[in-house]
Amino acid sequence: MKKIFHFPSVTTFFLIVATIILVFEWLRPLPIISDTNNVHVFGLYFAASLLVSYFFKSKAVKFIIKAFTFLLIIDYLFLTSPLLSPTWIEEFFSQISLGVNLVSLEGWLSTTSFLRTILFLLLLWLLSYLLHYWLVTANRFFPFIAMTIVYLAVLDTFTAYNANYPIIKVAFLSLVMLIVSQYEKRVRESFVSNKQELSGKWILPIVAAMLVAISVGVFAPKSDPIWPDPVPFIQSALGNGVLSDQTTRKVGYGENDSVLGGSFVQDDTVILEVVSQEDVYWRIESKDVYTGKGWERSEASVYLPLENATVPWQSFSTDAVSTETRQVTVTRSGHSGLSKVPLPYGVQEIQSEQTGAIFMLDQFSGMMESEGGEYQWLTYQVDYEKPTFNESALRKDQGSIPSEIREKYLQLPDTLPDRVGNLAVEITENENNTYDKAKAIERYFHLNGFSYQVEDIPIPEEEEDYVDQFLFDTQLGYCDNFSTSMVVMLRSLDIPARWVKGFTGGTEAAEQPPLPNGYKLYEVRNNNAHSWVEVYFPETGWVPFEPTTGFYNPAEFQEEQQENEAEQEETLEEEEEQEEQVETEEEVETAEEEDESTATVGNNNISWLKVVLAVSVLIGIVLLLFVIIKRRTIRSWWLTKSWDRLLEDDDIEKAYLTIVTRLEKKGYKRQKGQTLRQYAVELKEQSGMEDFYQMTLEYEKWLYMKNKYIDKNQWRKHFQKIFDQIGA
Amino acid sequence: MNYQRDINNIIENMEKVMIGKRQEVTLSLTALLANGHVLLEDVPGVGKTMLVKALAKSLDCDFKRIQFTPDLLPSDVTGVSIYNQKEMNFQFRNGPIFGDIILADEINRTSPKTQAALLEAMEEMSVTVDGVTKSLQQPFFVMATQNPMDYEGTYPLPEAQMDRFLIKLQLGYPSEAEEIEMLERNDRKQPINELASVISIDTLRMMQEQVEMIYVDQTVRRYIVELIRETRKAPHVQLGVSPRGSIYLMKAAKAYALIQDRDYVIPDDVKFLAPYVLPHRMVLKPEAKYEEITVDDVIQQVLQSVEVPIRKEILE
Repeated sequence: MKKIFHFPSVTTFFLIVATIILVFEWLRPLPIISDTNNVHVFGLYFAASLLVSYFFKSKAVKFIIKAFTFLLIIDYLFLTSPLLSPTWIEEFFSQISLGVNLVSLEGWLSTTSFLRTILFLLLLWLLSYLLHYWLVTANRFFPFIAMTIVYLAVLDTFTAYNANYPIIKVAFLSLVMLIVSQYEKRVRESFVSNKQELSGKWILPIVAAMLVAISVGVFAPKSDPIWPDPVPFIQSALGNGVLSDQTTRKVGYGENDSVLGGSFVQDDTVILEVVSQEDVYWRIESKDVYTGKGWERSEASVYLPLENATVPWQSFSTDAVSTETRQVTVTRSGHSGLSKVPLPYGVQEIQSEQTGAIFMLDQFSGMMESEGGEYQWLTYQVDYEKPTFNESALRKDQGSIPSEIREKYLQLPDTLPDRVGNLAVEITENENNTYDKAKAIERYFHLNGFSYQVEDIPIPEEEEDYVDQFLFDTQLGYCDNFSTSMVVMLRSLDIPARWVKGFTGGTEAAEQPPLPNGYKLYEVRNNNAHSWVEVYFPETGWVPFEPTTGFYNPAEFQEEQQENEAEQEETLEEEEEQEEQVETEEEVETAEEEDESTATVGNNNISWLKVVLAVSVLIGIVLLLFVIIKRRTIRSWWLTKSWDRLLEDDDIEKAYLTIVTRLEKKGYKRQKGQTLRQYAVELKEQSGMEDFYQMTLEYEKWLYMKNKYIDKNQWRKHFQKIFDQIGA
Repeated sequence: MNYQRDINNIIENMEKVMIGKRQEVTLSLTALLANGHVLLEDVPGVGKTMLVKALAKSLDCDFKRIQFTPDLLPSDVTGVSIYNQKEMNFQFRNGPIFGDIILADEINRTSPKTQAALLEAMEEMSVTVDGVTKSLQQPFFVMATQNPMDYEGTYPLPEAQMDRFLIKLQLGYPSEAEEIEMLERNDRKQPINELASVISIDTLRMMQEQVEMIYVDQTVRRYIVELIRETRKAPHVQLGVSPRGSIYLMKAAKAYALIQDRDYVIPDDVKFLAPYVLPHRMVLKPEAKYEEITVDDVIQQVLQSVEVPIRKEILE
């Protein structure tokens, strides 16, 4: 009777269980890096498939169980009708056809989750088959472990997933697996199973040694990386588009804001260490073009080196604002990935004692880069005039706005829904000056239930507007939502405004070095990345505003008054005063188009290089993987090839001895003084190598008899069989 | 000409009598085909005589038996010249040595001069009596038996004479099952008496000639020489194998190859035969005895230490 259920050996069972755990490690990050849910179901399905492959012999039984589990899961996740009833089947196929239709219409990314689930389950099915083959039949799984470690490392580096703990687990498991499989291999290959040598006692000390090694690795102090972090480089080389194609990103400063939205995950890497008397906002740049999805620059950045310590760029006029002179020392961390130089408001002079550090300024956005110190530790000193804005002066600051400011900073996209502008008008209807309008909008968020949240924030769909979605749909978001909305609303009111990025002041370090004169050490982390608003006043210049809930405007305003709050309560009326706006929008648009054409040319060169680099890296990786995965096939192909050549050249001796050498390498040792026939008989009797025996008889004849005739075709067949048998 | 069927017939025929002794049967046939002689060293009653008789009967040969006793004279072996009074001359009467297959039983019980007469005949293929040399005819195959040395009242064969034997054999006791079967076969009748010859004496001579034609490659020859030289160098060895030993080993290998239905010698033949062809040609140092090392151990060690040729040799 044919046994359908069998239990091959404890060692292989252990390998199977370990593999299931490893595959769980593959699945675990999926909810974090993608929008996959119910990962446990997939994990269970994989475990079930692998165990079924392992325990059952009959192919039919395996197939039936796996297919049935497959249907059960689909039923559990998606379908409501009773399992396998006619309606169920109908539902099943209509779902599939829906998914397939969506694929043909809009590509893979937009298909239904039903179809994606089915495909993923099928993939797991295949994977279970493949891994079962690798583990039990071929007893080799090193590629799998290597891939697991690379996978976790890549996720940890480029996404929000933290793989510290999983990687330790994987390392431990894989070492144990290697030991166990080595043991299994020895048992399998040994001619006579020597009970003494093969008793598993030696496993215990090895596992103990491994545990000690791993725990030392985990708990021992580790020095910081010596090389600069390659990640920012890789990211910039690949282009953010490639790697930011995810719903979650790490928080931090990035240059690409063309698509805002999506969730953020905290990252508390320290970016700046600041010795200062107070915490100030660290401004990096501003952007002027709102696209409906995010922000872009109308002008490509043009960096010019500073001639001396003086910074020839001011966001506000120091004449119109009362200031206090302050000094601050900033150390930018080497692994911040930041090439920009964050500056406080009112910056006057900047200098660094580091050799080779040159500061370069982009006049348009006020963005400063440091050269020679890129991705390196950089310490610089800034002298700045800390501004205190006078509210009454700002209220009176109502002069005419220069045309170049109007051109750039009143731009809005055509697609912006009208209700955004209407809301802005509503909010500000009781205000008569720019400052109060700005303040009203700033306050609007605080007072109307907008809440600050970094998770589960959507990216606007194709036809949606980022600001509109935030103001009317979600009312949930983080700094980008608040600041962008405020800028857009101000612009709709014909008030020039721009979107500013940088870092907040950070927190006081827990351990303070002894510093004089009320100086303190502040730590600015990636978590402190922020965006806010600057509003243009003709005399004062650009004044920062902070619409985001839970944040306080770092700029000080004198004569703060409470009276404006009352205005908020009655903002339900509608007014139509958009004529002006339409005009300005058109103006901005034409300007924008021109700018874009120039910017595209500049960008194209860079992105072309990036594409070439990225593609060649990808091809390289694919080739490498191919070689690694197929190295056995490649090697055996090469061996067969070179062996054939020996045979063709009538080098019978070398052809035969090559096989002997390979056999010896595979553990079939020929004793000293053993004749070829004795060796062949031994292999034949103990490992069933009939072909090698036949070949040996032929070779003997050739060698001891000077028989010139060798049936090469027969030899080729023998050779192939021997190779199949020893897995060379 | 293929003699495989004849060879198989002989072996099967002999096995009817010699139960479970295929190897010894094959070895004695090897010696016969190689024109060599066999020394059987074993305790009485294990079938030494039976082996010789079975061989002689299978071959349709003239079988003679000489029982060596302490008072046996050389002329009792070779024959004597007797004065014929009718014809007034001496007439030579052939001794038992003028047979085709001769069993020299308990050869170590007789005096050295009688031993020497037999061994000289074996080597020279002739006997000289009273100044007259008479040559012996082919086939001439001697199978001598002797009890192990440490029995009392024996004259051990000197080394030089041991060298004349191609193969030294031990029969050993049969296994339990073999012994039971032996009893069954001998219950009513003597199976040896019913043994019929399977080949003619002419066929045997042709087979012996065929052995000469077996090809020995120079790689194998070199292997033989290396083995022999190694026996001289091995530790515990006082006297190694003589060059005659290497010739004998090659001859035996050729005969064995024929029995194995091959017309060329392979190292396996040499390795198989070495423990039977070499040991009685060697003398160990006295201390080897105290270390309980036997000649067979030395041979095994030599066989394991000499590399078998697996490549064609390039002539220089």
